[in-house]
Amino acid sequence: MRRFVLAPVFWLFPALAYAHSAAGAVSGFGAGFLHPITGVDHVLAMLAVGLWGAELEGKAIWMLPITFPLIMSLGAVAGILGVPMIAVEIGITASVIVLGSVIALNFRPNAGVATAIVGCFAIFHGYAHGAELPHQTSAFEFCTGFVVATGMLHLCGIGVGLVTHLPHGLKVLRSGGAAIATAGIVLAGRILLGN
Amino acid sequence: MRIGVKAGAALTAVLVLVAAEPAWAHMQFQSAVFYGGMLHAWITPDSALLLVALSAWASLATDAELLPYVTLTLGLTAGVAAGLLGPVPVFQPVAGVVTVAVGLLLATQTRLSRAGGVGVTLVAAVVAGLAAGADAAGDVKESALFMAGEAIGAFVFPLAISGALMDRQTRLVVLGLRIVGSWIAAIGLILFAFRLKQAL
Repeated sequence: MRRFVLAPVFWLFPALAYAHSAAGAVSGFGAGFLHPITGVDHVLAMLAVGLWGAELEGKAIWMLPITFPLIMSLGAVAGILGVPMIAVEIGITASVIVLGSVIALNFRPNAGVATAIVGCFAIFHGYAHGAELPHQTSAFEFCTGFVVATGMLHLCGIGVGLVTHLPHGLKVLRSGGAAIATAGIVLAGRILLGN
Repeated sequence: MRIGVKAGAALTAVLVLVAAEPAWAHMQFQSAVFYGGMLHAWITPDSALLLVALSAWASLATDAELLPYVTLTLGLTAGVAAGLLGPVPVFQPVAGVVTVAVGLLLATQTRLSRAGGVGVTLVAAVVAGLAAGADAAGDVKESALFMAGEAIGAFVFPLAISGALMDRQTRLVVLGLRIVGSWIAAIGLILFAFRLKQAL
């Protein structure tokens, strides 16, 4: 179990080597890979998806992290093609609050409902990644980067979520969910105040 | 028949070790062409995605046999040969659809019948071959060595991946395969949208 928890953390380390990589193919992938990681709202929401899957266990532990990238890719395509979408930032922030809250409240719907909830929010995250595609960057490589980074954040969430198997682990996990929801509320406040 | 795949995987490991032995800096041009062909489909993003998904998916087969790998080799080689001849109309959006389909099969851990599995493998391998063939550099296009390398790479690398995964279907490995399958399907979906936009 310890290896399972640590592995996703190590997978993130290659990002540190980007300073020494050649420009071109890697820069598109690297830019995409860093995109979800450098946004605190994305990071919190992705971790929450993994944490919730681990909390729910059963089918949810794999249904949530495999549904999210698929739905997110639809949002990304919409963003890249310039399809108009309203309230993207609000949708992303709402995902942080809602996903943090369901973890904190130990809300346990069936896997289908949980997947639907996560899928709705995935559209907003994907749209944001797609709409912020840097110019002169390969869209394919950029998208591959953010899909992989997103999945790794899910894996980190699942790994940390295995804390539920430890004594008082569920309390720790629910506290983490509350912290994520609180951070989401702060982010929402900043959006409402225009900061 | 499971023993056959295991033996094949062991043979693959030996072949890869042997192939890695020559120092690249001192190789003759023709050797470079051969090894370039061997790796080519695995470093071309469009085809690599498909091949990784197909190889991992093949590890789910309950009656392990070499037929999927032979099918993959024949399909990929035929696809590369066709791709070298020139661009195939409406191929690129199809490549996206096939990538999504194989990614989903892996993500949902779906096992098909023998005929269904061979059919999917053949179509996906041809598509991966077309992608790799279209991307090949001009100076190797007429090289039989390049094609031989492609064919050998198409056989040994999937066998190595499948062989490594076949007897290790633990909960963690299955979760990893599902997640990687969903990544591949998601990337395939984006690829499809782009290619469709370019085609229209």
